[in-house]
Amino acid sequence: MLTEFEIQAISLSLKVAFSAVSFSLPLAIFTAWLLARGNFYAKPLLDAIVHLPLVLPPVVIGYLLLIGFSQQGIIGAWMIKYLSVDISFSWQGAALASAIVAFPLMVRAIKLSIEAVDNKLEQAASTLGANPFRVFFTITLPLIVPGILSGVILAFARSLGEFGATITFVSNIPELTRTIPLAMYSFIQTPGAEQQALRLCLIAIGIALIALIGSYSLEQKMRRTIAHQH
Amino acid sequence: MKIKLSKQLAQYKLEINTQISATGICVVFGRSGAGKTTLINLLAGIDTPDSGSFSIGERCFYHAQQRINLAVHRREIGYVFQQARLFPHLSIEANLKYGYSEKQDPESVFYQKIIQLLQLQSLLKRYPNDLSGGEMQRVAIGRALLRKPKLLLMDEPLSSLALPRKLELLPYLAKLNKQLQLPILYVTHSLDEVLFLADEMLLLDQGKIVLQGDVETVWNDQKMQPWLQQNQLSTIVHGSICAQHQDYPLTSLDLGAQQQLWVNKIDSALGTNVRIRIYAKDVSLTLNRANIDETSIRNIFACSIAAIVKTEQNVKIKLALADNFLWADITLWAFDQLQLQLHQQLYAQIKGVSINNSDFALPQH
Repeated sequence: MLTEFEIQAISLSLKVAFSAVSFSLPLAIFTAWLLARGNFYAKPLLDAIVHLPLVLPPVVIGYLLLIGFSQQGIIGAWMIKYLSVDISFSWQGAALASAIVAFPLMVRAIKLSIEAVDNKLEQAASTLGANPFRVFFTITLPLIVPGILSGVILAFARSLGEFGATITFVSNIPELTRTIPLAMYSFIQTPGAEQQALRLCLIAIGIALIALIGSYSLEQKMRRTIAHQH
Repeated sequence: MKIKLSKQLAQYKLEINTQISATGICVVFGRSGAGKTTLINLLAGIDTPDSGSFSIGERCFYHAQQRINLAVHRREIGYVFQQARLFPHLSIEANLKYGYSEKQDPESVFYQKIIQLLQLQSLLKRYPNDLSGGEMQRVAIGRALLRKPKLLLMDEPLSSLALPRKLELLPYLAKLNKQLQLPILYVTHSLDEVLFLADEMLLLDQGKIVLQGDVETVWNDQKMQPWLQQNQLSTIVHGSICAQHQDYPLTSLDLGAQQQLWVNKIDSALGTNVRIRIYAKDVSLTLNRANIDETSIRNIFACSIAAIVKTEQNVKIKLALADNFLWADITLWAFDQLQLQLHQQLYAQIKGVSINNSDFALPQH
């Protein structure tokens, strides 16, 4: 039913999106917590930096990544020399680009859910002898699971659709960096490949729908479980 | 417990400098906005004072000059909030055990004691959302106690509950203090709760202590009167049950100095100490003692006038009666016609039937 080419693009897309989301999640939770509960001087600056990828053209992100992480880039050269890792023109590079572009969406969703946690519960936990670390892991974190989930789904969907930063940073290399949007772009560029482009288009819609519906029902279920309502 | 704290608030400066005994229930009473909650938040470490110090015995929690400010979770001070603040994602059992250390209680004797005292057994497997307000507050109290605090702070723990729930919970609170020997600082603006629970009382207004002492002294002080609303002006007297009437459901209380007060029947053993609230509106004055077969009034006491407070509508007379005080509310007209003077001897008549069960409390000792 699906061609080998399509399967390749789908599995690459999923791999990129999964890695992008799972590696940035801990950092996103920490950043969201800082923005929601922290009280420090540079908070507006941190908030601005986190939201920057949301307003910048993706091509700018891709270009900055290219400068920084290519083989000649400052960080890229360092990584090749000391870690023997080269992420330019690889699926890992695509994952990095997706992670950065999707980061603000994830942070926003988690931040909102932390703000919705009643600070009074955390206060009560500390009067019961829990240090801030324990308060976070036993009270805050379990209560924001639905928020984390919706942040993850949002970021996942955004990663699947990432185009501009990816094509700028890691180019459009078959089997390596050609995700669904990039594959579609190639078909559109090729005369007579309209049907293949349409098929990929439908696949993209299908994946997005499954993710959104799945996340909606999972979130509902989790909210009920957490509050133990019937 | 030594408290010397100050903090600038929006409306006024909170300044407390006092000592509170390390046993019994001390009720912090005042209007809303008097600084009651701020005071106990400072003690818990939730708010930080501007200056001062706070210690219990040898243990110092806060000292501005020595830069000591123990974090909330290190203070070992229990806190029962106005709302129960149970953790919705944890079962009642997990809520109760949140601050509880099984190492310190290897045979779980203390755990069982608290479960029993607050009757929590049937709730353990349930979740906060399934509980009634009274049950939730009982769990919150148990949770705070299982942490084995050195001091328990309670911020109007009953104010969010309907009256029947309050009446259900009050006896638990009275029992707590007696059985656990834990000092409790109890914030409230309810006079009923003061009457039922307090050993010591602290009247707070605009961030300052107006009065402090045992309940009878504070309640009967003239400075307390504005807090007892017009129709609520009342006196607390102390007595012990000395007789039950043979034919009628009445109980006689010995007020000391051979004065006896008949009230509606109290089902307790002879010798039990009780605290009685007598409303000033139920006390009338007469210059000559009426014969017992000529009046419906059963309680007539010889007393003398200790103070006279005139207001626009009426006169409040403070009467010395053996070692108790009594307030009487009479009209200006009656006051002028009787030509009452300070230190004058006269008779106070109290309608015994007006004292009902909600007006007496059995003290905890």
